[in-house]
Amino acid sequence: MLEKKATVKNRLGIHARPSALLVQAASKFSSEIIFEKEGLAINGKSIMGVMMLAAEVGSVIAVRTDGEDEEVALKTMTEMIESIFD
Amino acid sequence: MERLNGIPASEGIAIGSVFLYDPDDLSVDYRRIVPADVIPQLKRLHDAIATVSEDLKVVREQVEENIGNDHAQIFDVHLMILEDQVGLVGPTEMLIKEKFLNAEHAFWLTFQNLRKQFETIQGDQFRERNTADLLSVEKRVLAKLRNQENTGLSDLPHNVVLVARDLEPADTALLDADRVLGIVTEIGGGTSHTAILARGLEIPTVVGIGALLNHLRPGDQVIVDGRRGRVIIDPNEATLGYYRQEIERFRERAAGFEHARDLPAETLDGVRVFLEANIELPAEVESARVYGAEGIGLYRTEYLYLSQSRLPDEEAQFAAYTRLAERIAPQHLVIRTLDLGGDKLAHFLPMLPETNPFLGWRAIRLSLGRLDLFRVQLRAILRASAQGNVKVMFPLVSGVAEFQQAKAVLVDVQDELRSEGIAFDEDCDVGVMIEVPSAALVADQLAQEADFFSIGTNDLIQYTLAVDRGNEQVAYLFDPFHPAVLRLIKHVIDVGHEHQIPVTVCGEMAGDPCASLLLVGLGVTGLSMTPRAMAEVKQMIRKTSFATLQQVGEAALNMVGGEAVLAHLKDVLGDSLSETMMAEIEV
Repeated sequence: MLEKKATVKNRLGIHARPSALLVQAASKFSSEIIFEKEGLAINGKSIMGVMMLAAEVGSVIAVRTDGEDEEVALKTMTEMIESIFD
Repeated sequence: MERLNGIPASEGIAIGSVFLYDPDDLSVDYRRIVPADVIPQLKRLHDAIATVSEDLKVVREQVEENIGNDHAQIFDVHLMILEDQVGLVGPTEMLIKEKFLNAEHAFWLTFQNLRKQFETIQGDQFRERNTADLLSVEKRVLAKLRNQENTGLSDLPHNVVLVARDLEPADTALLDADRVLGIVTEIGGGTSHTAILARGLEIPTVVGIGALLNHLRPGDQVIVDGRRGRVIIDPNEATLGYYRQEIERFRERAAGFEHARDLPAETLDGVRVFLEANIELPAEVESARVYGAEGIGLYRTEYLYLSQSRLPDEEAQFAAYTRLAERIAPQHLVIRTLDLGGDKLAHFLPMLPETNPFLGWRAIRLSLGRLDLFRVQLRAILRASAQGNVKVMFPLVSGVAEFQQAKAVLVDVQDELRSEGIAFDEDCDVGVMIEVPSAALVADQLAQEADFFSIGTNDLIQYTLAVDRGNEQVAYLFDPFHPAVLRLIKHVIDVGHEHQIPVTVCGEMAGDPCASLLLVGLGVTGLSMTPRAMAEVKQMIRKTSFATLQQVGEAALNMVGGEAVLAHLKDVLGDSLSETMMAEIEV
């Protein structure tokens, strides 16, 4: 299992549309993907989960990946969390 | 018979029977099941989800086609919620299999649990939006499970007046305009999504009528008067007769307008007036063309910003502006920069509460305070100017310094584009909207800086007379023919002529047959109005002489207000006024 922290850079936070993009990306990996923010851990392949994170700009999300493609999954997901969607 | 007053949202008259649309009615059959019923209940659940998923894909396509991809993306989110195995489908299946609940009960309970979880999140800035998305999906699936085939609005009976609390974008996108004669909603304003789409579909509509669903039974007869914003329940014979005639007159006039479409708006003594269109939805450029508009005199860009969760980026704006500019070329497209604030708040713009929003941070003031937004919009507008005849104007300017400040930003953005080697029209005209009395009074100063004037009468009247038209107790004071208003307009027009810059009126007065004649008499260069009003205004102009209108205009400046001016118009123009106008004056 791998873990890395990522900071939300998008000014409007991870609202519905970026949530959808994150989940779409996460679902392509076979690894289990977990996002954790302030004690709330959710499944990265569930849009409900990602919406529940309510991650505003500046919040820090711990990304955990576990499985065959965990390395590339970790890199992809942390990069996405830090990207600008607006 | 009962009369109710709301906000006029889309012109025209409809007489039809009520169809109540209440998707919020979530009453469902909650039961426990026997173990043998688990498999059939799971199948019901999966079938319902699959059907809703198909429906959403259709809606998504229609919205993308009619409104644009940005708005369609919200349906991607709904589809993902629907197909969320971890968050939604899995837990629902568990409740069926282990707690022996029927499909709707299990589905409803899953959403209850989700709602509770969302409520425990501290400081969730997305809560309102997310809850709305969840509810939208929940309603659709529960309705499907209820076996209600008529849950959508795509399969309505004929000749109905649709009555709802409010309509969602998804509802209106599926609306069959051939079956819906009129629309009435309990909430919403003149710039709501429903109002904008109803105008686009040309369905007579009244919004903001207040509590109504409980007063009505399906099948009740109602009249929707979209021009006056009135709804009449169970009308008596006399009222029905009046409105039937009114519909007939509408039809007759429409036939006459066909004929006038390709003729110029020219008075009997040869004075030419330019008739242009006000639009909000990009798709409305088509109706502007159909009604013979000589350009787009006002493109309201707010629609791009409202009713979506993120800001439209430069590319999205550039695409929208370019498409419009190309469709209307070689005629001009006048783009008004963002007019948000006041009654039009976009949910993504954090606004401080204001005790007096109409005198607060709105329109050009907001743009100048949020240069990040303003510059993106100006870049998109300027880039589009390379693709057609594009002009830009700033709303709610109150004086020269403010206009200069806005122009300085524009010049700076032009420099930026030049340095990036991006093409734009170096001669792109920059106009000022005259909607604040102070701007009207310093029109001579503004004329030195601006390429054209566009008078926004709605705000000019409200600020001159200090009257909120939405406030029933004072609405009677909202008088477009008040001499103070007419004198300000006259002053702006005279200054425009003196400095040889065009003066167009783009407020509601421009589309009103009586008021438009008066404006012609005061000397306007052009009138910009909702496309449907154009034919009638043109017909009126073609029947009268400028010399007469000029006299009427002069006289009106010294009268005491609306009634006197209208009576005078009727006296002088009696013969050339159409029958409908007479009726209107008498009402």
